[in-house]
Amino acid sequence: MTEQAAVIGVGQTHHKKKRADVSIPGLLREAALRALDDAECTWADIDAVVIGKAPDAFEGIVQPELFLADALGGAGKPMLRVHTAGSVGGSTFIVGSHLIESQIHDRVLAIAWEKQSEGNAQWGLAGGRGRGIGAGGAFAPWIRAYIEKTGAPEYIGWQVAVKDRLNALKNPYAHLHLPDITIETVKESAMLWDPLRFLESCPSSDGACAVVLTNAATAKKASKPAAYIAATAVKSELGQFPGRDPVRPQAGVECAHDVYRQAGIGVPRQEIDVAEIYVPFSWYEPMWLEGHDIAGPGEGWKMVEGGDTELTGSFPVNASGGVLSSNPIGASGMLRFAEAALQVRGQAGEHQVDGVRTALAQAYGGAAQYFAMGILRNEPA
Amino acid sequence: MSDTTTPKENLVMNHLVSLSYSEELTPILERYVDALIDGRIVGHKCPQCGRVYVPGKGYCPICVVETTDKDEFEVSDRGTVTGFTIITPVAYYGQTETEPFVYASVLLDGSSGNLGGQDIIGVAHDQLHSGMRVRAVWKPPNERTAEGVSNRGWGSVASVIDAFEWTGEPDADRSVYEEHIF
Ligand SMILES: [Zn+2]
Repeated sequence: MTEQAAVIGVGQTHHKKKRADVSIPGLLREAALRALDDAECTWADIDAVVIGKAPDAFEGIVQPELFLADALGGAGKPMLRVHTAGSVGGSTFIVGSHLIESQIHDRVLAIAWEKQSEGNAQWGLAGGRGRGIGAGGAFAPWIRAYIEKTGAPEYIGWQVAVKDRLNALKNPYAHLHLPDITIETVKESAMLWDPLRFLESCPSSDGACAVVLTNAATAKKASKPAAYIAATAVKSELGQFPGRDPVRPQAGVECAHDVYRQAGIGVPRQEIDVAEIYVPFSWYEPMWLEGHDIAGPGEGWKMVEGGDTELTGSFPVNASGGVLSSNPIGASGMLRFAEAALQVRGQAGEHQVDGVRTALAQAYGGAAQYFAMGILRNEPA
Repeated sequence: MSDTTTPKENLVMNHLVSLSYSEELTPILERYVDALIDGRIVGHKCPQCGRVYVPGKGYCPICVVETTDKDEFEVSDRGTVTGFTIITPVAYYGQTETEPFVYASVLLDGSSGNLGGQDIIGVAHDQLHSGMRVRAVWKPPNERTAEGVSNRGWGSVASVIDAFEWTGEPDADRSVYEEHIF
């Protein structure tokens, strides 16, 4: 790395079950224009576009980046597609940051999206075959294993589901706004993939997220505060091999250790002020707290139980409402990075956590086998 | 500009595309399928670490050494349930299920890796648990096919085994399956 990268613009759509008011290009432009406005830039200032989304089968449009080039000001510029399943939004952000760090480009637009209402993700995940299990079905056995191993009480999952939805009430862009949600309503919602209940699962959303990335020198001159990228890492592993621990995948452990090392973080729980972690199903909050060594073995659920991960807790997780409140799949990973950037810039609005200097962003995908993580700071290195 | 405040009714075109193609299996998978049709489950045993892969991959990805027909190893059609969930099926075009179904992983005796996505019968959904001992319920020999086995897959047995049935034996010790959750 020869140059530090920074986020100077953040934009996202209002995420909804169905954005019938916009086309796919329109949805992306809504996020992109907000990011450009925030960065006080125009399309002409952008040197390259990096775009990410989850599998093409989700909307049934093959290589959608090709028809989106024009709408995203990509004509005559480098336009790169990234795909790493559910972690893609995070990887797209990181690929964009690499283009800045390597000094290849001065300003990069990174954008990620999904328009779930225009397709059927369940059909896509099942490859059109019967007996599809969806993402919840794939993760449920590992969640059971986590519960069995740690002895976590069942209400931990319900607690995360309520906490993230209450946080989402403070985020005008969030898809779900459920002011009346309680532990009781979560507990009584339908069982979908034992032990996961309906209200412990993410919604299906239309949405996009975009960021404008530049180098630290340019970021320092911007009129608004920037989010400086202190560390990024992407790791992957096989989805299945003898002895694999899918509850605490080695790639996730190594990805976390890599960003902590790069950012000079020794005790993540103390040195990180806020975290945006990919939690599509409630139990993934304690699982990733342990899987990324923020909490010790069997301690993640105790952080949840004790209220540490609440907005006003000692280690706030998903102040934005997280994936549990908005899930435009491809964009969900980038939203973690964008929200982390807003937190260190002090621009998260009503869900701003006080005095954030260091934020963690994380996304995962596939069979919990792809990880993208970053540490963002309010000051350059 | 048209009035953007009133969405127009969507134009829907049902355009179903179907492609049929056959795939030539690797020689290792050919042997795997032949054995399955014969009622046997074979894999490769790594000569270096002893891990057994079903089906064989032609290499051990952990040791990065080649495995060949000489390393062929037959595993049992009995095993232990390592992990599971009960799926509430979501409707989509092509979905075949309408009622909650079991999605379990089975560690066959002698194998180092799981067989994922198996149905467990002979036990009520609320009695299902990790550690249960199960045995394969084979299809009649004349109904066994190679369908579903692909070079890209993880060695489906769906075209030869209908489900796994609880044997009624005492549960396996936790140490047998706790490192084999999938
Ligand atoms: Zn080996």
